[in-house]
Amino acid sequence: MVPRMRNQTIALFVPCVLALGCGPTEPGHDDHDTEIISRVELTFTPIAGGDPRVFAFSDPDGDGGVSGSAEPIVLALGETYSLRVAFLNDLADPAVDITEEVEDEAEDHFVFVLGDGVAGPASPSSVSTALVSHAYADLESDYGANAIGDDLPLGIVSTIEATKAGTAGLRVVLRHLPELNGTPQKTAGLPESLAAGEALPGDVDVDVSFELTIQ
Amino acid sequence: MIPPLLLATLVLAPPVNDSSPRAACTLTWEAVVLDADTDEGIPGAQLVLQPAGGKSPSFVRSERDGRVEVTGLCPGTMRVRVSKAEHASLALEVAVEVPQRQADVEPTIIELEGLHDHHSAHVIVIHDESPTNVAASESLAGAELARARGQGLADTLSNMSGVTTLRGPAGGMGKPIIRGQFGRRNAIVVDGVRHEGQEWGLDHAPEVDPYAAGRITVIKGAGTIRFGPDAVGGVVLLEGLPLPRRPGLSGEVSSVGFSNPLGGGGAARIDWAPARGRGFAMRVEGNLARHRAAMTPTYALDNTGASTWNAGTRLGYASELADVEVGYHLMRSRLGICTCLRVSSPDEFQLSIDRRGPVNLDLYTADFTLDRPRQEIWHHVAFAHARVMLAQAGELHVTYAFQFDDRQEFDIVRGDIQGPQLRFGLATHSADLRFEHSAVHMGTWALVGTLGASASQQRNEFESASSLIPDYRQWSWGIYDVERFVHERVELEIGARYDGLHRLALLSERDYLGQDAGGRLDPSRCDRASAGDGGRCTHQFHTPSLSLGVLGRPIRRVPEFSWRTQLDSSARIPAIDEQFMNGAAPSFPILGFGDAKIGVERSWGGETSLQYDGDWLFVEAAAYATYIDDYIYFVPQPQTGQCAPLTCTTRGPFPVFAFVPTDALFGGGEVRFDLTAPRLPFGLSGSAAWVRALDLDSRSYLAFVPADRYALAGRYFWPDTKVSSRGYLELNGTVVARQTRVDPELDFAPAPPAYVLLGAGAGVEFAAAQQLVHVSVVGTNLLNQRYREYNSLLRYFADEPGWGLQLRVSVDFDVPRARGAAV
Repeated sequence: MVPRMRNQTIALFVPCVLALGCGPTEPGHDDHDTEIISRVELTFTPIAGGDPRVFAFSDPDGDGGVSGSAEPIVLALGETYSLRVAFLNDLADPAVDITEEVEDEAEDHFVFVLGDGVAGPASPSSVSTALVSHAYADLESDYGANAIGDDLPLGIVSTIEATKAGTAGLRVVLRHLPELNGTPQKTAGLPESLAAGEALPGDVDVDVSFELTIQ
Repeated sequence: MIPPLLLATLVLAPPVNDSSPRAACTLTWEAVVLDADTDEGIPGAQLVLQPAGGKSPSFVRSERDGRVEVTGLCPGTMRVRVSKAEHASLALEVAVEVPQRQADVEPTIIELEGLHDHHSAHVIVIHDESPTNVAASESLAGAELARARGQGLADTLSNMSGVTTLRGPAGGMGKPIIRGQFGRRNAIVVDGVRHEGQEWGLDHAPEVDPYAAGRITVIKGAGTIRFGPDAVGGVVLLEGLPLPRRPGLSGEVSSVGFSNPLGGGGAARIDWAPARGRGFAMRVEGNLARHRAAMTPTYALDNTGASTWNAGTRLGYASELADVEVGYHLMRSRLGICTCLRVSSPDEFQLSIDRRGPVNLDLYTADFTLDRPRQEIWHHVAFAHARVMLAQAGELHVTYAFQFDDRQEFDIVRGDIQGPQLRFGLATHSADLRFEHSAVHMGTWALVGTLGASASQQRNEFESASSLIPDYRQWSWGIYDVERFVHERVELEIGARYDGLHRLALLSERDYLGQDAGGRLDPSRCDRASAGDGGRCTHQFHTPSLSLGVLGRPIRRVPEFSWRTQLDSSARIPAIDEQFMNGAAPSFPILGFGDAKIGVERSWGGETSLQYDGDWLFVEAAAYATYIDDYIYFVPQPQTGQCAPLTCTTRGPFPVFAFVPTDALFGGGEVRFDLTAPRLPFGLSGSAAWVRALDLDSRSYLAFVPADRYALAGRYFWPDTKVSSRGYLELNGTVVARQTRVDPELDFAPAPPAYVLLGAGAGVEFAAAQQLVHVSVVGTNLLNQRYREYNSLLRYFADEPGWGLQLRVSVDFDVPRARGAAV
């Protein structure tokens, strides 16, 4: 819309063109469309075999006035699952899968799984209500060359073992940790820092909570 | 600026009876100070007399008719410096001699060039350039303005009493707060054209170049009648120096260097009026500044560098009957936003606040590089102004302006994305017509006044992946009349205005459905051409404003003492965001929603001030109270759903804030004084300001109201030498109390503690025949105090900058083409 307006402006307003143009024009280049994550899908595939179970958090109007909602997660006691997390923008038509971009920048992203129903690296060891255990099942090098620092997990794929029956919470956080002044901000020990309640570097791209039932 | 009369040597005629050249100090000198433009006498001009022989200087002020008489002078050369607010200062040398003949006794004519628009003598009754006589106002011009060069608009004004800065999280970014009101409740007027930018955002600093102004005036309190509905809180007027009216080449070249943030800049202004083609004049001006990130006492505010440039030109033709001026100004600004700013989710925000310092501080550097997040702005202004004399009827002023504000905001994103995440394009055409009628004399009273009309058309385009504010088109108009009844010691002012606005908001489908589902639209005003195509919502507003003011000089024997009072009822039309905001607010981890059904906000205000403006003492005390009916306020709204009372988003549960009408009461006062010891080289000035603001509906305090503030400055004026003048040393302190009047529900962190800042400065001028060199150095926060400011968005994340020095050097030059025999 802005480029169209600028053309009109030029007609009205020659000096702005003579001086320097009114700013760079990028006709037809919608380069900000992929930045929104409006849907987070968790796919639990039983390692022993069986149909995957998919549960999603969805905020169909983005940052509009309607609250997003999470589907309750139901898993079977004693089963071990491979959890795959997907980040989507279904406000765009067709929907855009942002997971690929996160994978491409595996060294700048970290997925944490925590909550009072989860025992794992990002949860305090004192959690007694844990119904599942969480362990990372991928590494940055799974998504491309590990150029910077340690070969740390990304967390798009992890292993969840349902250890206790009951109902509690499960929370998935995606942190964007780009380099700051040439130094990597994604470091080992971030899940433990999160578990200890410390402030982490970087920004939160996703922070969604689910009700988890193990039966 | 130095008028061509600089350092003119005068032979003067003191009437004395003693014929001896070695006479005792009994000579008399007479002079008349006149406005070069209108030839009216200028009352209250200050003359600093430096007699020969290194005696201490003496001070006198011109009488009501501009006359000055000094007795008891010794023979010899006397240096005289004449200064008056809103006029260029003038330095001259006077030879005090015994006259040869009695016929030589004529007063010296001193003409001061006014730093104001040219006016016909018909419409001026009492020479006073203050834009409004009955409201409290404060101006910055000349040397005082020169000492603030190189800073953003808000910082330039922040030493005025009752004016503070709403500081953003980026380098040099801020907007002025006038008596507790900011953003859409203040109007900024540049050369008679209302500045139009994205004023609604807390972190959107006004895209205004303070370098282009020769005088900046702040009207504290409503200026609605003259300046429109957005002026309910106050007005900032920036006026460029007038184009020269005499042939010659003049201008100013200046540079400024800062130590914190490290950087500097330069500015130049060249005015040229040809000897042939009298009446024509032109100006070319520009400035450039760049600085790296600022340093707090203990760490760098990573990514707060900035780079800005401005370029402008204007061409004018002036004659007795008509003036025409056209001009164009372009501003380019790139501002880095502090890495410390973490608003991605409420949890993050709270963690940052609890930490009392940013995460990964050891990686913070003070670079010139501007990374994401940052803002990039182009702001274009083109204007044409004409003044036409209508014989004895008065004069007509016509102004047309076009502004285009192109703002891009870049967030931290994944590497495959290059462009901005938010882009705003705001185009405004505005036209103003003003008729200043000739003075009508009615016995001892005179009536002067202005009838005006204004109209504007505005078009905003917003581009982003998420909704925030819709595109809109709006047309607004206003008509007003201000009449002043002027008597010798009393002035009455009555003003009335009527405004209208037609707004068409173009909501996208998702935006429309979301706002409609939330009950925030008025469906009867929205047109939905076809499902899936969004909605077009039309709103109209019509509203009057009135004001009544008095200026009096109650004590006949003390004309320096004046009393002003103004009563007003002003209306403000809701801004686009107050009606249609729908999305995450850029500065806070909240979702913000407008309400299309919101109506006009009406204020009922009164203010009064007492002022004594004497030879060596200036004191002003002002008090005000304003009741605002249906004050549009941004307050949290409990939500339903899985995350109640917050709302669930993919970035975690967010609080929801919405614009709702409430009733508010603002009150407060200011005191300021400026004392120059009559015979001692010392000066003392100080100010204090208090603001109180209440939400009457919820009986709680309003947010972002400045804390109590006190400032004191002591000055030593060192004696003039053969080459230097007006030298001073200054030590100043500012005390800002803790804001204790807060509603914890409306804020994310407790108000920061009180703080004290110490500053110092020194300056001197060196005059030559055609140049005047100003040098000044200013030190800020010299105790390197760690502090946070209640009105700074940075306070949630990091400290304010530590100590810094600023060095300014400027050269005014003036090469007249024809030396007039005016003196």
